[in-house]
Amino acid sequence: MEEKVRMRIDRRRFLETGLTFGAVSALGLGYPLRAAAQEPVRLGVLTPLTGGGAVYGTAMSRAYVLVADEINKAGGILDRKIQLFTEDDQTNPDAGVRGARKLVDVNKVHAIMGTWSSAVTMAVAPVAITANIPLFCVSSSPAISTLQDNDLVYRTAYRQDVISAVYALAAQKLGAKTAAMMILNNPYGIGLRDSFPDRFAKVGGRIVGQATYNANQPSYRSEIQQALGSKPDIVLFGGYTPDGVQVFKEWFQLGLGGTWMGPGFAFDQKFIQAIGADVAEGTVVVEGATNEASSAYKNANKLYRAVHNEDADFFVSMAYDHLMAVALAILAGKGDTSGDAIKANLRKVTNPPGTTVGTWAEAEPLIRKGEKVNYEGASSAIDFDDAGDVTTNFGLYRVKKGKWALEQLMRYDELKPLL
Amino acid sequence: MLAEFVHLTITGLLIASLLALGAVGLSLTFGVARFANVAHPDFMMLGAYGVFALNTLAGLPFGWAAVLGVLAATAIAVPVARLAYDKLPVSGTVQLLIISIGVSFALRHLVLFAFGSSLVQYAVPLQRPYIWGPVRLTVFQMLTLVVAAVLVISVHLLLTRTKLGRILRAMADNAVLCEITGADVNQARLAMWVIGVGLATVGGALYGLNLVIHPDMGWNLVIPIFSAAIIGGIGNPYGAMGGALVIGLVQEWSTLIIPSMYKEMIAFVAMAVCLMVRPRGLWGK
Amino acid sequence: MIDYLVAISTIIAIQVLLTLGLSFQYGLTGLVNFGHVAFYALGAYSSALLTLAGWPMLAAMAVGVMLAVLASLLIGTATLRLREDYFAILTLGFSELLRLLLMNAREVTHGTLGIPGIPRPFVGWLAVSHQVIYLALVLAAMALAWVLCELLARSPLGRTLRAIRDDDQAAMALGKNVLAFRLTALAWGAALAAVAGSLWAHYVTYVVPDQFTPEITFYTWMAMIIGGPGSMLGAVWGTAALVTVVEGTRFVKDVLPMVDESKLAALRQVAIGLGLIFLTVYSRNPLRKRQQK
Repeated sequence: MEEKVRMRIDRRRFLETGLTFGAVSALGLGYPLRAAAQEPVRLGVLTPLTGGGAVYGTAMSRAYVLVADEINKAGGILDRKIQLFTEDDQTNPDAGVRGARKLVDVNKVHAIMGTWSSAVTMAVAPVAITANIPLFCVSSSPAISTLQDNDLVYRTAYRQDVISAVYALAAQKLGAKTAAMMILNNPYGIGLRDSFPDRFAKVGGRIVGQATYNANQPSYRSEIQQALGSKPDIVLFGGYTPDGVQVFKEWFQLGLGGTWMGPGFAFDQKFIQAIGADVAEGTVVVEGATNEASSAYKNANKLYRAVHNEDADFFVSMAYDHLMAVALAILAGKGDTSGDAIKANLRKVTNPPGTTVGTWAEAEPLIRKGEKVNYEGASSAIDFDDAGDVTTNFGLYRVKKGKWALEQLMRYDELKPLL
Repeated sequence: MLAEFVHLTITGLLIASLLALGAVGLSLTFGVARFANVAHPDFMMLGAYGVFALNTLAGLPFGWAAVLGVLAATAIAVPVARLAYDKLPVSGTVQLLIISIGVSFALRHLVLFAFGSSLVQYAVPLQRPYIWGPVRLTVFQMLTLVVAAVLVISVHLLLTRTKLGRILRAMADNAVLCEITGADVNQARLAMWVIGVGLATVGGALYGLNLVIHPDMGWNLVIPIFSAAIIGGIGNPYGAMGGALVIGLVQEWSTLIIPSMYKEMIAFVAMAVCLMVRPRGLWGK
Repeated sequence: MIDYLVAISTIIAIQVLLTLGLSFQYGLTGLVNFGHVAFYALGAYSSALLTLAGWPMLAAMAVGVMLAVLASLLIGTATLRLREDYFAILTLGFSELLRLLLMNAREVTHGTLGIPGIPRPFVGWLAVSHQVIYLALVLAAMALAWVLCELLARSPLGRTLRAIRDDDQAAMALGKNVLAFRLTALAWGAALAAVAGSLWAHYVTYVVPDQFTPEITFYTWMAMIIGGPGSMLGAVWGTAALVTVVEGTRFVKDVLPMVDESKLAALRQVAIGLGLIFLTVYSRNPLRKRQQK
């Protein structure tokens, strides 16, 4: 009997060892087992690796790994390594909930990062809230701001209603008096469609055409012709890169004129490469302005380029910011990984006042000394307001010779009369 | 108003030609093999990826890539179809339908695994359209219309004027009787797959020319393609082309009356009405 | 870990209701229903909308059941006399049509935004964790459904359904109203699916059209095939086996070093597709007798 019990314990120990070793090597950390003498900081990544959001989720999951690696190589958070657990939410609320349950109940993560689809975020939020752990998302639905979330849900993307004021301001600055809208049928697109006309009217503009399309249609010719029929001064695009590429291809091949305006995450480098610099020439892009100049962005870009040979896009940048924000908050809380501690310390490290920092190397020594920092992120200034949203200044760019050229800066204060 | 109508008609015709290549092949295999292969539109997707792999990844000029890509995709898809549908020890249309769902899942996610989730496209520059009044078409789009028409006519000729065609039509009518007459049913069945899959892969290759390529591009066409084949009458390739025209045109014209987000329902509603009122389709026997 | 197991058990129990319904429709009666998720959605949305408007949970569920039954009767009457594969395609199309409607009828359903904040029943009862109470509720529903299905399957009704499945011509010749029996089976399965949908809505507290895709129907078919179509016990253990295996693959990647998460996720789906093929080949075909003619 004793023999059997001992064998069973040994086998279990072997299994645990094997699992831990596997998990650690899975993260490519390559540290020997014994080094994890202290409990690791367990962080959960829940993001679309399959389904409609796969393009974004895949990029984000890679970014999380890179940042965690960088922090771990520098010694981790107060000598505790970050251990990432990744689940695919399949761009599906059902699967998202199941993935979240595993992260929370089995992997016992201290935070969940990466949900993209607003529907998934809304479904997963109750799981995080009940477990008292923070959720960082990149969804844009306004409903997320008003969730009863005990200050646990944060987002680094802008809300649709804010961005429509930005577009209206941009249109005004470009001298456009008439506009049409080409809208993807999802919360982000519909939100834009509902809020842009009012905002545009406030600056004296008029909507002369609009078309709403579903994702994955075999053709968008009709919708494009519908939107552009009355020859608007500018066409607002409310969709993502995949449909954007198709829309632009078909638009170009219809030989219709017109100028398009859209978000940076749709009209990114991948998009410009896909449709060609000459087709993209002159397209107006609206995006967060603090982006490129920050040390955070430069670092995120360097990390991402080194491994994946591509620039860090908006989503990669947001992922970088999620993990940095969580890690800095835990560090500021002297290693306390509870939801309450992270909540309490998050804004202390991300919002002003404080020394501007953008990388772990810049921030870690300062926080250790007890100094106040202000994390300026790769995707935006990352100053979380009471609802867990960020506000940011915006840039009006034009695609010139295949790259974004900044034409004007739009400060958040300028937007206020339109909101 | 007229201009709008012309625009919608052209778009309808373009969509119809893509649907036709899928629907004709489906109609053939559905009629002869007697089961609904929901993986059929995924063969179109394989065609698009085949051309993409040779053109964009391997760097072949588009003409070569198109031909070789279609051949390669067909060469891969036909054995898959044979194995899954002809060689497995199952009987019954329902079981084959379920198997085809499994094939579709597997194919789509294998492609996702191999090529990733990013949108891809051929290394072919975009074209400016030729404009005649309200009509705007690029060379590739005109090519699509022509190729679709030519292939469908060829299939019709094959079915009506060749021995193989006779055998296939006999199999669609009554498979048992056909075997008794000594016709080489097994070979005919192989030919059926080659033709059906071949049409699909060409359709996919053309689709990729006009639009972006992603692993679900075929799956998104299941309802319209089945609708076209059923409305046309299963087993009748001309019917399938007619069905494709009906679906393509009606869907686009409908946006004059209903918001365009609803137009995808048209295919389903048309199919439902057809099955309830005239199950053999408009041109079925 | 316990919490996770409670969660998985809840999900399994809700899914069993779906599988029982489908097994009744296809296994017993030979109806090739590929639109099962539509009835699930009707139950979920009814519960969401009505309980948020103040209705009690059971009343809202009852409305969902009625809507699902009504929908099943409508579809059934229109299409049951068609060939099985046409019926399959039509039911699939119907579920997609419903999903499009849910996406676009924004005034009623909030469209793609979804309906959050669905109230949970029995919150605060007893000192036990709410998750456990809900699991108990769901298990009770599942047990009740299972018992009823077994009883019905063994009853004269069940015998008639099986006779119709095997040879509807003979059944008609004996004077049975084949259509009426088929509709009954279809409606019963739809009712179970609606109950499942309602329980799901209250569990996740959020419904959105994205949750109601054909994948759920296919998943249910797989669970049914694993346990054997027509076997009510099979519906229960088949569902449990399927969910366990699928969830189990999440743990595989915690152990194996993986190059790319997304690739593993894609492979998982490939495995599901191949699994479906394998299972179909090696499991009993309820329509075997009919198709042998």
